[in-house]
Amino acid sequence: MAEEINRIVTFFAGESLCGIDILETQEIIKTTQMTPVPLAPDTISGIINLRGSIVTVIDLNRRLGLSEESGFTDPVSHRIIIVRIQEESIGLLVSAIGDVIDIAPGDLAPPPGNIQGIQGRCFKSVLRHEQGLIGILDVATVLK
Amino acid sequence: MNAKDDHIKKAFAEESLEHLSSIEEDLIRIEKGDTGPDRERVNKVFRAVHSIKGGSGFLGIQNITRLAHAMETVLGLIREGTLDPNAEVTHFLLKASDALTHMIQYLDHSDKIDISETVTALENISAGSRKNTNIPSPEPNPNPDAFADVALDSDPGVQPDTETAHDNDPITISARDGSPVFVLEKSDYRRLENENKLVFFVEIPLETIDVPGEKYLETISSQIKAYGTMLVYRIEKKYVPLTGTDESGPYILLLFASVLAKKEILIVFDLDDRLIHTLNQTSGLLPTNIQEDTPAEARVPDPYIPETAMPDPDPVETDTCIGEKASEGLQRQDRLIHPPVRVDLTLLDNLMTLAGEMVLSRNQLLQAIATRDPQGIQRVGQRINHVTSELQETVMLTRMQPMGKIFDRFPRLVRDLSTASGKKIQLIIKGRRVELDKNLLEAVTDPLLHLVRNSIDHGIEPPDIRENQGIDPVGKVVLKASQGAGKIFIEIIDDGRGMDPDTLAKRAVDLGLITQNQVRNMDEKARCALIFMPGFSTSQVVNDLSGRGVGMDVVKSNIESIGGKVTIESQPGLGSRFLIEVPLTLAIIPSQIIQTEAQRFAIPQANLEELVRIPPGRVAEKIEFISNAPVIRLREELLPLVRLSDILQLPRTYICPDNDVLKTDRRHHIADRRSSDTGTESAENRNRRTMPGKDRRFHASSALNVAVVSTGSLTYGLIVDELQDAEEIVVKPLGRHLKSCGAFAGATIMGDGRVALILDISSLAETAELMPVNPSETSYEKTDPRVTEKKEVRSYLTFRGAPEERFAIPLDRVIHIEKIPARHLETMGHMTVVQTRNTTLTLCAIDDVAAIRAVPMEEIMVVVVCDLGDRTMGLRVTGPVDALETSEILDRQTLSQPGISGSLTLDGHTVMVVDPDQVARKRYPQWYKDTPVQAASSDSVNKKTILIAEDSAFFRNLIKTRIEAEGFHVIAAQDGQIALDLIKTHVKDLSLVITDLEMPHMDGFTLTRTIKDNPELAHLPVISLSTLADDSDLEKGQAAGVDDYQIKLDQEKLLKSIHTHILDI
Repeated sequence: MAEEINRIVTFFAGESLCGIDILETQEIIKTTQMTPVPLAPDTISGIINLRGSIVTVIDLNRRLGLSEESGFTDPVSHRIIIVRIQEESIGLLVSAIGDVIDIAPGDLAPPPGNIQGIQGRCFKSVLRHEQGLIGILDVATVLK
Repeated sequence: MNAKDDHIKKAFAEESLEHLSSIEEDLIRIEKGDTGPDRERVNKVFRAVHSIKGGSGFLGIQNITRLAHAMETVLGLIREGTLDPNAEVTHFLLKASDALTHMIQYLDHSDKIDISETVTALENISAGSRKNTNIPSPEPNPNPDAFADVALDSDPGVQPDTETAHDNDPITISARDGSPVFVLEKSDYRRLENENKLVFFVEIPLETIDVPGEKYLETISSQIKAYGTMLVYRIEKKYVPLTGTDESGPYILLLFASVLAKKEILIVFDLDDRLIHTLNQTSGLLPTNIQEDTPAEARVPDPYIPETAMPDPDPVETDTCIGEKASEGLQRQDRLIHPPVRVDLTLLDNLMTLAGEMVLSRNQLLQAIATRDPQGIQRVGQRINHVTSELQETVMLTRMQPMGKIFDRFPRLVRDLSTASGKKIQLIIKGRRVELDKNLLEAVTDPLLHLVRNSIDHGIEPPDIRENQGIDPVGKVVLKASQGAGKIFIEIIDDGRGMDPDTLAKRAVDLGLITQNQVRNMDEKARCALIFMPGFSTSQVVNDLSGRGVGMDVVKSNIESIGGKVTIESQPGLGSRFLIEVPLTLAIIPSQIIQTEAQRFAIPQANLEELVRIPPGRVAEKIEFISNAPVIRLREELLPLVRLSDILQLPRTYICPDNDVLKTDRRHHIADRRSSDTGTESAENRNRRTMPGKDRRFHASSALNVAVVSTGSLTYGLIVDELQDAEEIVVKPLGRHLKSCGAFAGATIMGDGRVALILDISSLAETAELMPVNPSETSYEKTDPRVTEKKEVRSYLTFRGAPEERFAIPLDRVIHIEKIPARHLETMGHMTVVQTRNTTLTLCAIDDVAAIRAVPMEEIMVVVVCDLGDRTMGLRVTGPVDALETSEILDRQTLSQPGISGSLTLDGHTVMVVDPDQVARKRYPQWYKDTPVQAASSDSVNKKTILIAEDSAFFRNLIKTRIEAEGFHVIAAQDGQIALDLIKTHVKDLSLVITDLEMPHMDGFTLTRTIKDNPELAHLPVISLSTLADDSDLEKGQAAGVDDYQIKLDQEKLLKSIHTHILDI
């Protein structure tokens, strides 16, 4: 349930500011050398070596349908958010990392039909914030 | 909270699975026991089931509790001797244990699994048995566990107190002399009651035990912890138990709360039932009155009564089949609880020591770095190197598991199969201790199960037949594992009827898998191996024993997927022997690192045959490139070549030799490379001038590197950019998002920390659609070179076209050979004729119709006059002309094109076989006015445009070239979506759409449907292509609106179909 979130990490997927429950993240790393995987769906950026494990990295921009291009204009700011789901670590490639924001229970609202053309189902709720609306990522859906 | 729950559940599941793993064997032994059931064993099973029930009760997993309870009741009756563990009883017990295993593996879904059938069966068994032995069934209390308690009830002076009277009084448990032993608050009791727990007062006499009281108490409390909670205890030096003996002695007294019924508590404590008393909620125990009246107890909710305590299992998703079907659906999404691995203690100690060494080395390293001591760093580096290798080896050892782990599953399987089939079978297991990597062990399990099933199903004859043949009516099946040369060998031997190669061959022909001609060329071994072909089954009736639909081809591919192989030996009447070879471990494999388009990949050595490097200057000479299929001839064997970057759809690049800039290679397919490569200097120069972007092959680095790889039945050459080192690599699995993209078997981390993908050679072949349509052809030619000797001998006339291209024509089509001066040649309309022997002979050359090099015009032409049935035609060729006989089989695939029916390898050269009919049809279509080919040919065709949607670059190019050769314009698309876009933009020019069925993004069915649903596009005929004709695909295609359905590799039929449909417009 969305109410249980009390702290999120914000990040940019392309131009959009999104958030992820801090408890769902394992770590955030700088982009390391990524190995592209031929024949893989184009939402997958590639695979990386995370301390000896092979981690699939998903291009969040493409996954959220934000742009055809991966929209990564400034590679220096790119980060990979590592999330752990069903005993597998998976990386989410984002354009940049923002602040960590504390959330009061009332701040969250159910997602509206669409946020800048993003398919609403990838977000489980929306946070009204001074920087604008922040979609909170539904990690399980994104990784499907 | 959740994590804790998970942890508990996992522990429960692990423990239960361990219990269950031994139950099966025990049950079978109990059934077999001639001298009545083995009490000890029954007890063991009882305890196992029992602790499962306890655990699941604790976790509130109702279905498991319910089933375990039903099993336990039956086992209890067996133990008492009132029930005979006959086949039926054992059957249901086994079934129940299967269901338990299944539910425990999918704990979170266990309540969705329908077990009522099994439970009812077990309940009927116990009820039936009770009736037979006249055990009175207590009507008011359906709980069988109440028996013991009811018996106690006979004590006089029971004073059932009313609930209201003592509502808030504590419950006092008093000794015989009236002194209170324990006091239990009513509220506590209520709480326990709400948790479905019963409270027991237990008197444990100490004289039966040698250890001192305190010590014993410790042991006991740890033992009973799993079954419930010890509320309070005390040790009494002089105590007289409530019932039975009057003698006093040292006792441990305790109050124990548990979800278990009294009957089970007896087992937990292993005590006489007089020493355990159930507390009821109305009162404690009086000196001589043990208050265990039935009505009171009946109010205590018993979690084991399905009718009252169990809500119906969730009816929404009920799986009626608990076996494989249910698991299939669940397997993917849900966590499967993995049973723990047992590791030898000394191994663990070694690991511990090594870990210590590692820490020590790290400290030294840190110190050396801090003091900047280069020698020290070097020393430590070496040390770490050693320790790491040793650590790695030791860890690998922990993965080794004995074969017994899977072999032990077979007695049950064999029992079930023999019962179901009425065959008598003795199973002999050898080599249970041979160890194999855990993953491999799991991978061979299914193939082994299938092979044993197969042996019993198809191998062993029914007992009466065996007796009639004078052999032991009991069939033998031997399972044997052994180790040698870094491999594990597993044999499955049966002494059944064996396999008759001829029957197999006949069946294969009947099934349309091979042709009669092919059979003639097979030896016995090859015929036996036919059972590994997809779609093969000898059983006349498909039964559930042989794992319907899952054939031996799956066995073969499963074994091959782990780098193993499977072979058969069989003699009719004597039995069969299947031999499976698997490598010891998969986690670390030797491999060859290659590079293509700046990306590194690993090829497992197991798949690698050899590496071939063709120097730039010899590329043209070494690679025969005719039609569209590049082949390399390696020791007289034709090897298909594919470019790795093409299969992986990597954009091809090259370094421009002029300015070292990376450019995209615009050549579409490998054919371009050789199209103007005639090997002469002038051709090279011309090429350089006209196409500066294409001269990569003359660059120093453009030597061709070919990795020759094989996947059992198929050997092919992978063209890669660079061959690097051979390395031992650690195989790491790919994440679930990448499982579906095939082509890769995993990934590995290279020395520089980057990741390299491991190529899955057999998937690659599939992706490139390299799989021969008929796998038997290649494999059999390879398995036995002598096969060729038995082949049909045919006579050919051989000649040449261009000096370097050899041709042959079946001799029986040749009337005579003439030498005609070129000046006699006349051109009339678009026909070329010569006057000879007073007749007009129509002439043509093969290059008029086929994509081959030009046949040079000589002053004196050599003309082969061919018989076309009702007319003759002259084929202009060049010498030397020769005739020869060969038994070579015509390869109809590799080089087939218009006018060329296939190729032969003669004296080490590839020879194209000319089909005079095709040549004539193509060159002089007016002779064949009645066929569509004629009308479609020449000018009218040239304007027609055809769109091909095909995801495999290999096939796309193949078909494209073929159709282009026919004079059509072709637009190619690599998936349905792209195709649809192209169709929309080119709809005015398009005449026909050819689509593959399986494609990414949009498949052929959807594409067809979209076309047919769009009024602007609906007029376009759609021909769908598939690798193999499958009826379901056919129907699906027709439903989508496909106009025709063709098999990819049958190009002639495809062309015919194209002509027909284009004419229709």
